[in-house]
Formats: sequence, C-alpha cells, structure tokens
Amino acid sequence: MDNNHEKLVQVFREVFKNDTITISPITTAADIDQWDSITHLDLITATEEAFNIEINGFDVMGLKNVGDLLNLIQRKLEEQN
Amino acid sequence: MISIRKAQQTDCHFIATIILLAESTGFEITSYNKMFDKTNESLLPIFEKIIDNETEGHPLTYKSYLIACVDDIPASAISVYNEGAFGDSTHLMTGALMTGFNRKDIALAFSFLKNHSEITITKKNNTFQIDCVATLPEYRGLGLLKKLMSEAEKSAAELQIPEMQIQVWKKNNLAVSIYEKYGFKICKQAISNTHSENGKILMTKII
Repeated sequence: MDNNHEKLVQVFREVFKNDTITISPITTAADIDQWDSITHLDLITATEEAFNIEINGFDVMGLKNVGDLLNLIQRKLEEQN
Repeated sequence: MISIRKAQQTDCHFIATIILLAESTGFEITSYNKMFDKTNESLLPIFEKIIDNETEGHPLTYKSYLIACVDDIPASAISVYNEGAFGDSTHLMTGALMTGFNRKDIALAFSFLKNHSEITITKKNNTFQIDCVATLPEYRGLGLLKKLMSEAEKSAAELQIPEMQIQVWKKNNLAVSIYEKYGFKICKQAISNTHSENGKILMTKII
C-alpha cells in the first residue's frame, strides 16, 4: 500500500505539473487547485497507465477521496493476481 | 390526478428525455449536444444508459430525480441532490459519462466547457442542488414544477440542508421569474466572454 501511495504521488505530480504536491487518503478535489473535470479524467488515465489497471465509469463514481482511489488500485491489482 | 414520487430504474428513458429537454432552453451557451456535437435524438439512448446507475450525489443518476405524474404517467421531473455528500458532483458526473462515451469524446466535451469556464459557478457543499428541470410540453401549465419544488424543499428540511440552489441562463427571464415566485433570490452572476448579454445566474433559497 505504501508503494502504491508513493507511486500515486508521482502520478499526481505529473498530472498537476507540481513537484511539491502531497496527498493523503482524505485528500479531495477541494484540496488541490486545478483539480477540475479535465484533470480528473487525466488523473484516471495516468493512474491506469502507472499501475497497469483499467478503471471504468462505475469505479470513478465510487471515488470520494484519494483513499478510495488507493483502495481501488489495490483491489484492481489483487484481481489481476 | 397529480402525484409525486422518487424515480425508479424503469424511468431512465423518461429522465433522459427530461435531461435533454431541460438543456434545450433556447438560451444555452453550453449543453450536452454542444459539448458532444451530437443531436438530442442520438444522445437520448446514450443518456438512458448513463443515468442507469445508483451512485447518488449528482444529476446523472436516476436516483436523484423526483417525478411528477399525471394519472400515473410521468410528465415532469427535477434532479435534487446534496452537493458533496457523495463526493464532488462534477467528478461523479465524469464517471457517469464514462459509462456512455469514450474518453476521447469526453475529453473533447470538457475542452469545450473549459472554453466557457468563466460561466462555471462552483456548487456549494451541503446545499440541495436543483438541476435538469423540465416538463413535457403537453403537461405544461398544471403546476407540476411547483409541486416538485415543494417536495424538494420538504426533503431538504427533513435532511436539515440549509439551502437550495439552482443555476439558470441569464437570458432565460421566464425561468428566473418562476424561481423568484418560489422564493429563490439571485445571488451571483457569471457573464459569458462570448455572449456578453448571457451567462449563468445562481439563485438560492434558504430553507
């Protein structure tokens, strides 16, 4: 999970083009400037590429915060094994 | 006989019709058909599929709708949801759109919206958001919207949500006057860069 967190931090930094960005499980869109619909879509696509998983619309509707995204990543990775 | 009820999964076709009708005010700068460059006819089956989800907190799920029926036939509807209670509504809508469109189309649609970002009014958390308001033409003038708004207000009061919000196009004077009659007040305007006489108006009502 910690590795996933670190990897996801890098995804956020690339998508938001901000090398100092930090995230925690309770981080939401309201906490990060420029987290709009476009960057949300970019974030999903970048997460898929970084973790080699597929995220569908129903998965996205289940995300309230970064913690939910980390849980989703973990679940998708486990399903692959 | 007029009755008000919560929408069910079997209402998805009717709700998709309402969503596209609500967007066709004649004053809209942005709308789903402009965003996706498709006709309402071609969007109808796509939206019927999209709103067939049970994730609450946004207007692209049948779960958010109240329906007014005339003799048990759906005639009018509004979406009502508590902003932020289930996550950011715009991000929930992104997920919903992903169930009906491919990502390239969604990215193009969002780029279109970004070109009109000056008229975006952020929705306040813990407010009842009223959206996608429409009545089928043959049922207009029966007071259905008033009954729907009254039911929405009752729900807001029960849930102790302090405020109702609705966004309308500035040029839609009829809609503005109707909501004023229901006790809403204009509290913010966002004028378009490309249509200086138009833009979005935020109207609110304290419960």
